[in-house]
Parts: sequence; C-alpha cells; structure tokens
Amino acid sequence: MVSIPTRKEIETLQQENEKLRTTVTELSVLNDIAIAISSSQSLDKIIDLIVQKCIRYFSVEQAAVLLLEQKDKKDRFRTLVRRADQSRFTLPYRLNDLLTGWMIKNRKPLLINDFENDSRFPCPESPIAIHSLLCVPLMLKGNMTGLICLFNKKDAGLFTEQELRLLSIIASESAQVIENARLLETEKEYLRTREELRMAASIQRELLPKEIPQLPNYEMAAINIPARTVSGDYYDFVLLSENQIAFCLGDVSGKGMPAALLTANLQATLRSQIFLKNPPAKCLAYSNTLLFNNTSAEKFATLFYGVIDTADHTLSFCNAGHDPPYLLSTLGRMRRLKSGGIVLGFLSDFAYSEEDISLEKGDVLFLFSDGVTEAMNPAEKEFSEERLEQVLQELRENSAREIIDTVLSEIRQHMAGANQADDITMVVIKRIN
Amino acid sequence: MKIKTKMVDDVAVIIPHGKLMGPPDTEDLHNEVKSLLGEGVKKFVIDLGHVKWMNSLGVGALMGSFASIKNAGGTLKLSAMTEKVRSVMLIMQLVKVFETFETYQDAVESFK
Repeated sequence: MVSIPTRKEIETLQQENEKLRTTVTELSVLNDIAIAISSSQSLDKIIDLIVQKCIRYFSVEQAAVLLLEQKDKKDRFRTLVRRADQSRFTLPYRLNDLLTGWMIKNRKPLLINDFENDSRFPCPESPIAIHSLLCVPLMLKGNMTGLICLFNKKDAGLFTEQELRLLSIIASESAQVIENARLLETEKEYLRTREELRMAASIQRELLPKEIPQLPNYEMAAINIPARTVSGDYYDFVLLSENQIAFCLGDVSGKGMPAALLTANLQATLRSQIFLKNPPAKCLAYSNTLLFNNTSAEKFATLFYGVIDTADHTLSFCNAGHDPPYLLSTLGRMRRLKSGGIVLGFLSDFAYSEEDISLEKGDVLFLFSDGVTEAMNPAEKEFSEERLEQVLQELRENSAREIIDTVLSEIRQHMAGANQADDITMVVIKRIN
Repeated sequence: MKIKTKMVDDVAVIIPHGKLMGPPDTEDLHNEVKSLLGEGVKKFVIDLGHVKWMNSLGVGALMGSFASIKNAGGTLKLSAMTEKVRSVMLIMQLVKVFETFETYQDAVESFK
C-alpha cells in the first residue's frame, strides 16, 4: 500500500531536492574549475581561468584574482599586489589598496550587498559603480597569498551566504595550484638568472689576459679565484712597446654581479688610458674622474698600476688606495709600494702621485687583493699580512709561478676547508736577469 | 646591526653597533643620514667605536654618506675608529678626505 504524501512532506522533499540540485551544481562548478586549472602550469592562464569561470558561475560583472608578494619579511603589511586580472577592468587604485588592506588584516571572507553605503570602503572617485562585492582570501599554510574578488551581481542581484561558501571552497582549492605555478615561475626565473650568471662569468674570464706577455729577463704570473661565480677583482697586462709593459691589479667594492659589472667598466676605462701611454699618475687621475662620473658615491675601486721598462729596469707606479704590493729584494729587504692616492671613483678630481724605482736582478714584485690576507679559517682567523710576509720571505729564490702556487697552497691550508669569502687575486713579476 | 643616533646641540652623532659589511646594515646607515638631512641637519659625526669590522661595502656606506652630506652643504666627521677600521681607511688613503677624531665629543667640539 502506498501512502499519499502530505503537503508538508512534499514541501520538505522539494526543499531537499533543491538542496541536492544546488549541491550538484556546486560540485560540478568545483569539478570544472579543478579540472581547468590543473590542466595548466602557467600562472597567467590559471588566474585567467579562475576569473572567467567565476564570472560565468556567479553571474557577476567583474572578477579579479590578486596575488600578494611579501616584500618585507619583518612587516607583513608591506605587501604588494603582484598581479591582477586586468583583461576586463582595472580596480580603482584606492579601492584596490583598501580591499587588500582589509583582507590582510581580517583574513576572512567579505560579503557586501550595499557597497555605496559601506563606510569601510569610501571610494567617491571610483570610475566604476560598485554595488555588491564578494571577496575571499587565498590561504596557504596559515599565510594569505592573495584574494579572489567578485564585483556586482548581475541584474541587481544579491550575493548569498551560499555563494560565499562556494567561493571560499574555490579559493582553498586554487591556493595550492596558484602557489605551485608561482613556484614553477620562480624556479624558471632562478634557472634563467643562473644561466646569465654563468655567461657573465665566462665573459669575465675572457676579459682577463689569456696569456701573460713574456718579456726577456722577467717572469710574470697571475691568478684570480672568484669567491662567487663572478669576481670583483681583476688584473691586466698590456704590452706598450717591445720593452714596456703595463700591468695592474684592482679590487672593486662589493662582491658578485654588481662588482663584476663595475670591474668590466674599470678595466675598459683603464685600458683606454693605458693605450694613451700617459704616465701612471695621470692615467689613474683620468680613470678616477671617468669612474666617478659613471658610478654612485658608494661605489669605488682600489687599484695598483705600474709600468716596467725592461731596457733600464725601472718601475713607475701609482697606487690608488690598494693594499700596497711587496717588493722583495735578494738582499732580504721588503718594502711596500704606497705612492699614489685615494681610491678611484670617490672624488671627481684628485691629483695622484707616482714613484719610479729601479728593479735589481732577483727582485720580486708581489701584488695581491685583500682576499689573500683576509682569507679566514673556520675560527674566523685571517691569513694576515704577517703570515703572508713570512711565506714570501721564504720564496725569494723561487720562480714567479712557484711563488703564486705556494702562497695559494698556504692560504688553502690556513682556510682548512672554510668558505672563500672574498676573491683571491695575485700577480707576481720577477726580474731574473 | 643597531644604529643609535643622538643630537648634541645641532650635531647628529650616529653610532652604528656591530659589523658594517653590506646590506641591509650599510643601507640602513646611509638611509639614517639621508633622513636626518631631510630634517635639515647639516653637521654629522659617525662614531665607529662600536663597529667591529668593516669591509669595502662598509667603506662605501661612509663614502655615500659623505657625498650625500656634502651635496646638501653639510659636513661629516668620523670618530673613534678601531685599529682595524683605521688601517683600512689608511690603505685606501681616505684619511686624506675624512676628518677624524679620537672621540665623538672631540668631533662635536670641532664644529664650534
């Protein structure tokens, strides 16, 4: 026997039916979005898909996905909107700010059906009339990574709590997918940067002399070991005539890429002066002015520049604030070459001085960067000038190449596996006859 | 690194504590100078007595501060350089440009 349902039972059934239908619609919306966004790895495409689907399913005039980028770890409110869907409309700047600020502060969904009279968002200058708004945060592991925002329910409709719930679910589903796409982008960017850095390093190696010119009666050797991929140190040798050779060792302030760029600039600047065959002090005075004009005040370089004449065995040099090189004589003397002036690039105009000395048979000229004396062991003790001097004293009789190799092995022994913090550069010139 | 600043009459005495070896510390120091310049301060002393170690970026921050102050028509003096810092400034021959004093009180006094 079949009982005839009462009117009340029919109503309940209809309500249940309606609920089921809504749930099925919701599930199919969620499923649709999930499939769509998981089909792409591109951040732009994913955001665009979410925006398009939301406009259709929620029947709204506008939708936007804003991603936040934390610029300052200490201050989570100093967050910038990194990307918004701008294909359809631009959010008024002030509203964008207010809305993002409110969401960062409250981190909960926002539903407004009477936007014009909402005192939290006073936007009198808004070029588009906003009546209703639904906004939910994108949350990931307790952090807010962005927000999804819907504007103006079509046909003057109102947003419902149910829609707010649905948008929240969409947001929680999307957050991880968006984050993955963002991480993928970051990784691609990182790989691109690493490739650029590798190329910069290879360009920089090309800028160092491939072969050190060999002159009769002299031995020359050099080494440059960057602490990072690229170096802020450099050395150069330029043959000026058959018996004149110019050489230098410079150290640009800072490390890594910024220093490397400035190093290339310094080298080009100095080379242009070297070929004019001006005396060292004049050469550095011009280079100083050029570098001053090309760099900000906090950027500078220290540089030792010298010219050896192999006919009369004289060395003319000018030291622009660089660690003074050592001149070791066979008689056991050791002196430092200091004449010159201030570091390059700080003052627009500086009168450098130079000094001429004669090189005797057996004299060794040892140029180095502070990465040599400041090389640290794991206990942060520096290799030190004292140690360098001790080592050099023992090496007077050795060849230029042996001197560099031995000093380097002493430094490595001292470092005992500690990280190399600064570029290590050495140039040795020895008069053998 | 911490930066303490105190006004002694119309002289700003900036005292960085710690290492001056690159951003953000070096930028903080230069920014402190710039913000004081914005307030109209013209006389500056940077006291290096509490700077344990300084590298080329630290020296660069002093040079950047020097240039900013000079461009604004002001003067920068240094005080209380540790032996290590003094040797760096000597090698770079910057002692020819920076006026230096044993204590910041001496530096402040020299403005009178």
